[in-house]
Amino acid sequence: MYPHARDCLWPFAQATLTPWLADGLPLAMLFTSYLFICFFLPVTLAVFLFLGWMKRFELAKLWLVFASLSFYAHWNTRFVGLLIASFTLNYAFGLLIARARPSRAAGYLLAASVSLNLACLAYFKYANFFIENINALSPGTLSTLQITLPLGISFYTFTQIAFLVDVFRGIAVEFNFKNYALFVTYFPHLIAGPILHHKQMMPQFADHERYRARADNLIIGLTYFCMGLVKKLFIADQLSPYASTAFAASEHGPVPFMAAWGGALAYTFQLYFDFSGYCDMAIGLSRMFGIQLPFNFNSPYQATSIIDFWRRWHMTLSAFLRDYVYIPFGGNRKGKIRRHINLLATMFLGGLWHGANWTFVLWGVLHGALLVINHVWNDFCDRIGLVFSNPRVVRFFSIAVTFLCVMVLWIFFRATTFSSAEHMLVGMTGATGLDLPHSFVPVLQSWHLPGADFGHELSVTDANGHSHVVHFPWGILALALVITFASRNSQEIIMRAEAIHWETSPAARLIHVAWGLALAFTICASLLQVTQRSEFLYFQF
Amino acid sequence: MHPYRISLVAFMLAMAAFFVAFDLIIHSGRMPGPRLSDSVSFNQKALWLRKALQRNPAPEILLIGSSMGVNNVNGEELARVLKTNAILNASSWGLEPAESARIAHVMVDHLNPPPKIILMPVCIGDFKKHGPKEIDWLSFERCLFSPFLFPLYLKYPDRNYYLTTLREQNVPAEINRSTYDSLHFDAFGGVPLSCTHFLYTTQRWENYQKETLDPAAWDPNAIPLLTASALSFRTNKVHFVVVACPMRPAAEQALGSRADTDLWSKVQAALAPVGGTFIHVSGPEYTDADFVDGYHLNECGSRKLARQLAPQLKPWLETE
Repeated sequence: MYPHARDCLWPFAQATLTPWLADGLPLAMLFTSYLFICFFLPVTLAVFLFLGWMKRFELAKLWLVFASLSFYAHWNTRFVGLLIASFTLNYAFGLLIARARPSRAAGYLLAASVSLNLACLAYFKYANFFIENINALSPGTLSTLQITLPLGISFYTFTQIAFLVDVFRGIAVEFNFKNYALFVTYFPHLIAGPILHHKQMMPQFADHERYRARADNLIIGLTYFCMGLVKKLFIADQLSPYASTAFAASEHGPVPFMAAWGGALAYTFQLYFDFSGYCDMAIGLSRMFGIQLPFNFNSPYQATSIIDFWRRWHMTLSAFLRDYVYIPFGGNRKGKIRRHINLLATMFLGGLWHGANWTFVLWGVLHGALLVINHVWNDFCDRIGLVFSNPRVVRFFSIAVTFLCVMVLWIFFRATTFSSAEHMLVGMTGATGLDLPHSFVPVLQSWHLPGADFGHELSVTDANGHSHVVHFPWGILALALVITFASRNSQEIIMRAEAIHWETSPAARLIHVAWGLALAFTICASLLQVTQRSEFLYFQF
Repeated sequence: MHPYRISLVAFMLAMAAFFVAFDLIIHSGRMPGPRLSDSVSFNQKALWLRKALQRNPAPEILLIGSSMGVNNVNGEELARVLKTNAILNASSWGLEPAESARIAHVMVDHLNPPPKIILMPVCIGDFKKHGPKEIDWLSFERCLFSPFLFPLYLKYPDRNYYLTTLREQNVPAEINRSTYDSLHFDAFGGVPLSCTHFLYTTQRWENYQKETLDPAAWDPNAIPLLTASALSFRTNKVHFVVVACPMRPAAEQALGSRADTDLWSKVQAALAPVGGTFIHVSGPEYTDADFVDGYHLNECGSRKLARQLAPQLKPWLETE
């Protein structure tokens, strides 16, 4: 028989300790997993708040670092060492740069440390891409390497490069190894961001007031977390089968008109609700620990231009690229032509950061090109003094055109090959015929349209050779459209609620009881919804 | 109280209510077994074994095997003849000899005292290669012997599986036992199939006709594994008995002699040197009325087999 103590501790041990003892556990510590919601989060939070209540602040930080490393270890214990080596080395480099400032040695140290970070990233993420390209030019020259991409390496590398540059610039001045270790490993942002800045986080980690259990932090944090859960489980994951099937079909040939548009639209919303859902969860989790993370999305599909889109989409990455790539390239300080080249170069690197594939590079370059066109158009309008008389109509068309551009470019982002992207785009033009769902057939046949080809729903073949029809996700797409275009985003909703001065009136109490019950209902519904492992899309970057 | 605290209290109370309700469902016995494998039968049997071991933690006779163990040896009849209720049927549909042996090893390792007899009814089909069931053996052990089941449900969160199984469980036992895939275990863990109302299918009734006894289809590891198991059990003073079950008269006529020379003689030869016992049951007393297909006995047949086996098992049961 198993000793009782071991059995009582088993769930917690699985959540935190066992990854250190046994490699390759098939346990996923996603924010949407049972293990995370039912054990890891409550235990980590309870111990953290208890230590804060005991005024053992340093111990509370160490506990969070340990919990974060355990969280990371669930994916792959082998790379915990890499993560620890990464933040230890970067902290040491940061100290050396700070001491060497303002001499030239600081610059050399910065160059060396940034190169080391990029070399590490290049090895894990781009080595095989490089080899494949060499082989494409000269077949059989090199054999590909067996490399596993460490989870979140792009995010923690960028976070630390920003730290090193900030130290060099004299912006990051606080050095405390425990705080720094927590800054890098802090589990809410470790895997997929948001990309944090040293100066945003260090004062928060040092503020002992944040270690207190506060009902408002817990409820606001839970609310963000629940919004993220709903976005991920009830929207993104529901759109995923259709998007995946459409893109899988595009690898074998042109995709029918409806399937191509449906697939592109489904992926456009899936990506947004998946990643913004993840970010909401990260922000909410962090808020429960009293730490505020920066917002990463601000209704990006309501953008009125591509420039506006990049101010609203993955805002922390955009800010990173602006501050640490675009501006060092010269930004807009060296003339318009140079600005456009800098934009293209920045977006080229932005595309490459997302993945070692030419489709990502093309996606980045096309966005760069659209940004250049957008700037040229703005300059043109300014020069001729063009002012539109009906701003609401202009706004509507601007949003529609921007959304269309973004959606078309997501095809390059999602497709694994250029031919796959081409098949989707060709399908969207209608060149492969108007292959409509069955539900359309009775209606359209009654219209007696000449030459219309009413085909089949999109189908997918499983491992056993059985064909399954994937229905067009009308309902979820409609819901996604309404949420995206007609409602406020999560931070707007919560900030409005926070701004209310809640009185202790019976009505306020009732509202708060309903609020608490709604959160519990969402968590319970989500627990029942989690039926399979479904990773967040941005984990791969 | 500050409004946010009211929200927090409401949230925590609602969550507590949810988990209490969930726990109550588990303990009410309505919850299907955790999804430890791709076999619903195995999962349900694991849950049944957990409860059975809580009632009687020291079984004397352990039945293992495939559907031969589930359907063919009637636990109630065996208990009546041998005058013991310490019989535990741990067999499950479609288990290969290796999987059955592993269950037996888990039991022998954990039960104190270990069972006196491990009885493994087999048929020709058991020696063929089957598809993997992706059994999580560590979780199986935990399901049987850990005080908490909840973590296993968290480890295998398959809502559709649990809901479907829950619905299927609602079929009453008397109806369910009239079909091939019944999951209604009797008090000993077997499923006695109805003698009078069984829903036959021609395909199953004639299934022996497709049997070619092609050695290429057999699992080469099956017999060596039985030998190793017998040896291992002997060191724990456990008698390992393999029983070749009777076949439908037509099947016996078509396959009997070849099965004897090609398979059963090899099994017997492999078990004898390591202390294992092989019993081959066949004879005119088994008529079509005792079978639901070529190999599976109904309750009437399974009682006959139990009565036939009991005298041979009795001496081992009486030894200390």
